Amino acid sequence: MIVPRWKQIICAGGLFSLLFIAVNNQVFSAELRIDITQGTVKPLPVAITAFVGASVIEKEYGRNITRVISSDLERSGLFKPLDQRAFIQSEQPPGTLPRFSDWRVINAQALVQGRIELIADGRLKVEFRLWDVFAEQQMQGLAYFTAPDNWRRVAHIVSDAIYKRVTGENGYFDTRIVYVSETGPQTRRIKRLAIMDQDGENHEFLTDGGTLVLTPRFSPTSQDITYLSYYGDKPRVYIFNIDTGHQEVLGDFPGMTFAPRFSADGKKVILSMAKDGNSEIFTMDINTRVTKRITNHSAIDTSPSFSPDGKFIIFNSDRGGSQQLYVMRADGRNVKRISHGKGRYATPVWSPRGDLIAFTKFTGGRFFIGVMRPDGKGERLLAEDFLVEAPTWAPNGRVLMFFRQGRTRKDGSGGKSRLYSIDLTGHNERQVITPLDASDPAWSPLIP
Amino acid sequence: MGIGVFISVFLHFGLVAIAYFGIPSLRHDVMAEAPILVEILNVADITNAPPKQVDQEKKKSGEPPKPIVKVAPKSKPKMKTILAEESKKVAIVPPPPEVKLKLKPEPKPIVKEKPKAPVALARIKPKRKPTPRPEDTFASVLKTVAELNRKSAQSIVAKPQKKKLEPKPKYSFQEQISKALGSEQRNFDQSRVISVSEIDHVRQQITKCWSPPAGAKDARNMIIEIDVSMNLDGTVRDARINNKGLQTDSFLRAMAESALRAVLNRHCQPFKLPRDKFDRWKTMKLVFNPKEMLGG
Repeated sequence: MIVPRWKQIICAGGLFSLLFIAVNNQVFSAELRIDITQGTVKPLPVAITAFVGASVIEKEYGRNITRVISSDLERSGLFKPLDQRAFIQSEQPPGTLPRFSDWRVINAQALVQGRIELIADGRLKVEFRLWDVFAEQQMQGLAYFTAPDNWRRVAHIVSDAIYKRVTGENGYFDTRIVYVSETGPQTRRIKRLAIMDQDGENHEFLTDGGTLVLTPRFSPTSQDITYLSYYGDKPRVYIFNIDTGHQEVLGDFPGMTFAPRFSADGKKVILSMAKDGNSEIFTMDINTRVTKRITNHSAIDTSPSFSPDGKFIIFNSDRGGSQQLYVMRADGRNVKRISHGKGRYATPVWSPRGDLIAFTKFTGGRFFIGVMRPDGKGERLLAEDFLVEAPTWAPNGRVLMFFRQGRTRKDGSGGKSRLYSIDLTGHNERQVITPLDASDPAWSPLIP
Repeated sequence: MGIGVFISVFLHFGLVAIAYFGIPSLRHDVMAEAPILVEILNVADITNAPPKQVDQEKKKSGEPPKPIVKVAPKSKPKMKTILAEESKKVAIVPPPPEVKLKLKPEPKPIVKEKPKAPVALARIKPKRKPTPRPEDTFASVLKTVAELNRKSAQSIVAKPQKKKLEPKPKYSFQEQISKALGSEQRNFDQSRVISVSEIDHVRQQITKCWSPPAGAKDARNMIIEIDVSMNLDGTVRDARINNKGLQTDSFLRAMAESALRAVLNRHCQPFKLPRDKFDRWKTMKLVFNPKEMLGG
């Protein structure tokens, strides 16, 4: 078929025009793009309504559980529970959606609602929903069954679920703290092991104070702790199961000053002890009790801690002249100094998340609690005082607990020792209330 | 006829190829150049001196910081690191007495710099970071006790500074510059395409409302895209997260939802965008990445 030339020209011209229009359209309707690289970290305003129930008892449980959830979330520093008196929507018919506009007015960005029910077999059913107020969507909805006495634990579990859903990270509210409770004059100090929930509730003493106890350490996988006690003059290490009360001796260790720390899998412990007059690092298999020497150096090597993957060990040594932090492989090779700041570094603890190492630092006559990355960079000091010591990580690696002691005045007052938690931002420091003086906290993993 | 058909086929192929491959690069070039050619010199000056920011900076650091960057004496680097790069390496605590010593020389350069103020501003502003300096935002994210020491040291040093700066104690360096340059509105030209300053306004509005999960692991590597449809009055009609993998990655989901909350928060709207350019912003893509905030 013969196509006349003029048709070809028209055809080509038309195509050109179409192309021109297409390109123009693309250019001028190109979508506006805005990059946001800064934010303002503020706690999330959350409305936590009292969990509803039919009977008076259920309502009472509802109020208590709501109070604990509210307190947990507030203490984390990431949430701002709103005052219930400001709520516009007080009651919501069952099976209906919240009136999101009412919650937006009071600037609630998340909404927690729940229901309590005592079921026929005597158990407590706790049901909750978490709503995104702006997106008008349910973010989470779960129900738990438990013995009514466990209401406080259920509240912590609900808090953990909310925390995880909003931050993406596991919570740490359903956990416990073991610490050394102290009383009496400095010369005749009575030290007892004590345990409590992470918010200071359900406090109990585990030992009677007959022997000195030091540095409890939690297993990351179970409710076992190790701690150091003295048998005569010799330091002896015990393993104690908190749930069963079962206790056994792990061994006598000469020259030991800190109890062993568990490996991440809970099968080994790592410790330092003096052999031949010099402190070195050893690991011990908990089942076989076989010890293995890791370091062999004329300097003092002490306070070791495993990385969560078990491949590395952080420890403390004066091999460079002053007390500094060193990282090595789990078999003792490739020792590398990571702390280079002024002052002395001690008690390093690897975060359960693996990204940071917490430590105690002494410089300029003051103590600091700080964190740095495993390569030694990014050192940040979070807390400071006359004495701050013994950092321990929450199981999610976002919060630290430590103890703080003020200076004792000439008249004998002051010098109180208390536990504090602080998050990684360094802004949210909270005291954990204990009945007596407190030191050496150890944070449990999430309770199974 | 053979030649005609050949030419026609050749041209058609060429057109198809141009249409297929040419458009994206054309589009990028145009987008990239638009703000640079039209806006950057005038607008940057305007954008970078919003009154609120000046207030914030006044509160946070009792002195004008930027000239120091150029005229910094030998003893400065440590201090500079802490002020400007705290977000990157958060620093080892300098003992308080040292800080005092390092701060003392500062008033001199400040006084000298005053007459050259517009020049200094012009040099600084093209960095296009009008929002609070890394220190300001980052201070709200991560703190070291060094910061406290520094602040107390600054407050001590601030007294002698005031004496030296007595002739004009009421205005900060940046306030004087913004006065000299005139008000924002006077320089504002609505006939332009959406300008950098307009984008910056929106960016600031959203920045105030975005609270990313700062402590999350690997947060700095997350990039969240939100597709937004706008109403003419500057409020958001609809916003959707344009990321995959939210169901499997709880951190990414938390980050994405924090971004979505920032966009949907009515307390941060309406976005300050010119109505006459509605066609340009009726749909937008907002890209969130906290890298800068968390120290690169």
